[in-house]
Amino acid sequence: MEKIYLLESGDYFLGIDSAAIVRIMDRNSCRESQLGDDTPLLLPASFFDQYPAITPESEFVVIEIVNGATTLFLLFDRIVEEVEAPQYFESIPLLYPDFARRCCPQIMTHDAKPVLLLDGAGLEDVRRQLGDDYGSLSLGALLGENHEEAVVETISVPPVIQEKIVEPVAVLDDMIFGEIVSWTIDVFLRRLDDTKVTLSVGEIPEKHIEPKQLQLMDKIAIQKIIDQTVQRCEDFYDASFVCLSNTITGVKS
Amino acid sequence: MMQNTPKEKVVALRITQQEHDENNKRFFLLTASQVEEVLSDSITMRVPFAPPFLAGMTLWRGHLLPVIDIQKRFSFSVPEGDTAFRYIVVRTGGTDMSSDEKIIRCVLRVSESIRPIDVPDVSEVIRSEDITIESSLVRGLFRCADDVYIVPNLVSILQN
Repeated sequence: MEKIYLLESGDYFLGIDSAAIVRIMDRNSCRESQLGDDTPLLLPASFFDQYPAITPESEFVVIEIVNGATTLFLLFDRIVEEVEAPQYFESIPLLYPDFARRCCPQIMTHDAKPVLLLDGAGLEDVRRQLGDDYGSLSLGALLGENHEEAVVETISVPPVIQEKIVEPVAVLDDMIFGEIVSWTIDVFLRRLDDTKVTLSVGEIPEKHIEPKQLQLMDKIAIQKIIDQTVQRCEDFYDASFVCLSNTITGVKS
Repeated sequence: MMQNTPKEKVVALRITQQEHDENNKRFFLLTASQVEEVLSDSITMRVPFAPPFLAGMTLWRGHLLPVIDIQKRFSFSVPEGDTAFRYIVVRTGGTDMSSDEKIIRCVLRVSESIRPIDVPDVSEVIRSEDITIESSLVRGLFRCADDVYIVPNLVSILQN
């Protein structure tokens, strides 16, 4: 370890070994990069606080790091500076949670402040364990090409509300829309005997939408499609609906 | 139960409570020798995934020390908007003052109300259940008049 990049992410003061850094990108270089919109980013502050990621209000830096087989794109508020690595590092005390020790096993000091050194492999390990609910954001959502409204909504939201916000980061296209409607009608037909058909997003089988894809979608919008389809089915549950179901069955066969 | 205690200087840290009651005050008690320094401010860096009572880490005289919000550690409610803190560097576990070998230090974030007092001559020992606190976190609990004095078990706090 020769040089350390000192970085800020929310209230966290972190360091990364410069040897682990593949590239550093700002907004413009992110746009010009060959990275796809679905490239997953991790916001350390949101991840450490176990909140969903919030699109940054101002400028940012994306740092691609490798650690063995692990490649991560980390989103920081800013680079503070690059400094010489100290000769000695301290270990994070046992008093702190195991997750903290895995993500930042070493501590150095700079300018009378403790700096937690990020370990890419440990970070990825903890991320896998906690899932994608915390601190994850796609590059597309960050750049806001198709998500400008979502960006406006998420600015300066108090933490209590942040917890409930699920950022839509995958497009709900015609094909997925068709899959949802078709599945809803199918289930409705199978549950004709039920007094009231109630379906939720979580019940959609994997063959219609892959769980990973579903996780990135606006579940509120999907639930609305399901509810409205059920409502339409109920409204038209008469001779014409039977005709419609026969048509669908015909089309499917 | 009545108990006589020798006269010794101790430091009383007032616990600020949500339900403010001037006739029923609570204090943390530390021996004067445990207190190394009282700071008006501390540059505290947060540590990932830490519980709310672990405010972070700070650098004090070259030592990296954990910063503990002691009221939160004892699950005492903190009044809203109460942002006036002091930071006390405390030591524990050391038997030999000339050596740091067995000494454990930490920084306690406490209310501004800190004062040296004499240990009350007569006090009543009370049980942790009586004031609903974790027994492993305390070395002793005393009542004097209407006030309650809590002697925190810093070793236990730092090791659990």
